[in-house]
Amino acid sequence: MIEFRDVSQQYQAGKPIIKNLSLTVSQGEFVVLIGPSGCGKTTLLKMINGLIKPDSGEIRIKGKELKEWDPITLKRNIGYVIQQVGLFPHLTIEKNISYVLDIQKTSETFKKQRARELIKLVGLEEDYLPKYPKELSGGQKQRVGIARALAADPEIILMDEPLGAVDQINRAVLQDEIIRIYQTLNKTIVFVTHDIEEAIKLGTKIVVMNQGQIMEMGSRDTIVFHSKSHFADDFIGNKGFLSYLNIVKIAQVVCSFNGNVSEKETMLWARETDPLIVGIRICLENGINQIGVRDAFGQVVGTFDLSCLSRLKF
Amino acid sequence: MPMEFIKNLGELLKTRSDFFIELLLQHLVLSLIAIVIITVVGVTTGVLIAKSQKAASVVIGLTNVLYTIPSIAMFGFFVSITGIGNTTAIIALVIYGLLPVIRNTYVGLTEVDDQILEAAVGMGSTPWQLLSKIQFPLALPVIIAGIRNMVVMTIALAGIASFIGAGGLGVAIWRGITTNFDEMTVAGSLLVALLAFVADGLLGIIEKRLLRRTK
Repeated sequence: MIEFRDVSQQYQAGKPIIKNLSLTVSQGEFVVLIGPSGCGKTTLLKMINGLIKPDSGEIRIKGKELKEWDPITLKRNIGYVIQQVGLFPHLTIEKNISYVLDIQKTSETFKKQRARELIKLVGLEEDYLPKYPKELSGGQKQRVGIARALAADPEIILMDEPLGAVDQINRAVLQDEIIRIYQTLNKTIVFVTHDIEEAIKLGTKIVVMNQGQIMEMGSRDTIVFHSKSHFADDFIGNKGFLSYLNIVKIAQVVCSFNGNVSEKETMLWARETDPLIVGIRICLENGINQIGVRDAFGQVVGTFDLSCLSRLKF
Repeated sequence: MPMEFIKNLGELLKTRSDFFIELLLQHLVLSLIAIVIITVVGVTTGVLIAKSQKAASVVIGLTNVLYTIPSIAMFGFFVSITGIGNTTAIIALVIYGLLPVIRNTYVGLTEVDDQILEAAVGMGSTPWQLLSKIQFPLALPVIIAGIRNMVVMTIALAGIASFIGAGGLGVAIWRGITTNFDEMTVAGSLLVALLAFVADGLLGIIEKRLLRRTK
């Protein structure tokens, strides 16, 4: 879907922002670019929709070289969500959402219908459509920002630290929303963040960058446990591990129940949809080695103990 | 004495109402022509120079210099080129009025939040769509403020235009001064002030409506 081959970029001579970088993003992936500020992650993102042009190397979007794309058409085919939301303050929420459709001269009825669909998709009521951005809270604005990026039904969506300005609680809610939207719509997402937890939570592929180069990339398992790069190890560290325990579900490591029925009476329980950290906590809190695991309907599915963790398959 | 003066003033306005209405209309037409030209030229120039910082500093610098020339000197200067009458008056009024409009258009357009512009560009707006759908509407309150400033100034300045043979309420003021007819001078001045006041009020209402939506 997106292919970078040996791409370099520098604003000033001798100070490269991106150095001989290669990266492939396949259809349906949720790629998170993470790294310290100035590592080139935002530059990399902006190269995808042509806001920044590389000095050398090749970028292919949907199999077509960047130079062959009409720059306006390319941008209209890629959803774009930015850090400070960037909603247009003089337009209603409805007009904001349908802006991409408007500049492509889509019919009024379609625009109206699409705005209605999208506002619900991002979890807001239709009542918000005639309002102006100033009347919305930060989290609501960001939902509208996401709806706006989805308007033209693009296959690729770029998100540049979209939750950077949202408070902790709303951030977690919006992260879940983004995951839900990603899973429902089957889009390819490239997401920039400097928040390690966010990266571990959202990405199907996490790319750790530093000084314009990729230090490590892979699934959250690879990034947290099997990184070959010292930089990535230090950068992700225990914070990444903690968020890993917060995200991976007990269901993935549950062992079969082979104790006797009487044991069930005294057992403590977790749900299979609980994250690993909940299971570990129950064990530590109660000084026990093993707890039982139930599914959402209360049916026993097995047990959890620390030795079960070795069942994680990387 | 003041009571008598006010009485005489009222009497004058009543008996010579045809005269004053004609001057008021002349004044209005003269100002309006200048205002329309200034708005079109000023806003267009402001839009054009917003794309280049260099051009902007040259153009705004130049209009700044023109702005500092005393109005009576400016009128006098143009009399020597285009003679006396309305044309000369309009040329001088336009040159004066351009500064606030060009400057405010430029400032309004260039001060639109970068993040908003980046969002619009990133979503695939053409340069024209960016200007007409995003930048210009967002700059409009600032542009209107400049126009409002210019309108009041032009209406006031048009009062001096009769010194170089143009029509308008300046004729009454000028005649009052030269014939030592105080009521005539005051009547002319009052009407100029009234006209400027009403025009400013109307534009103020428009400005308020625009401001309510943005920001």
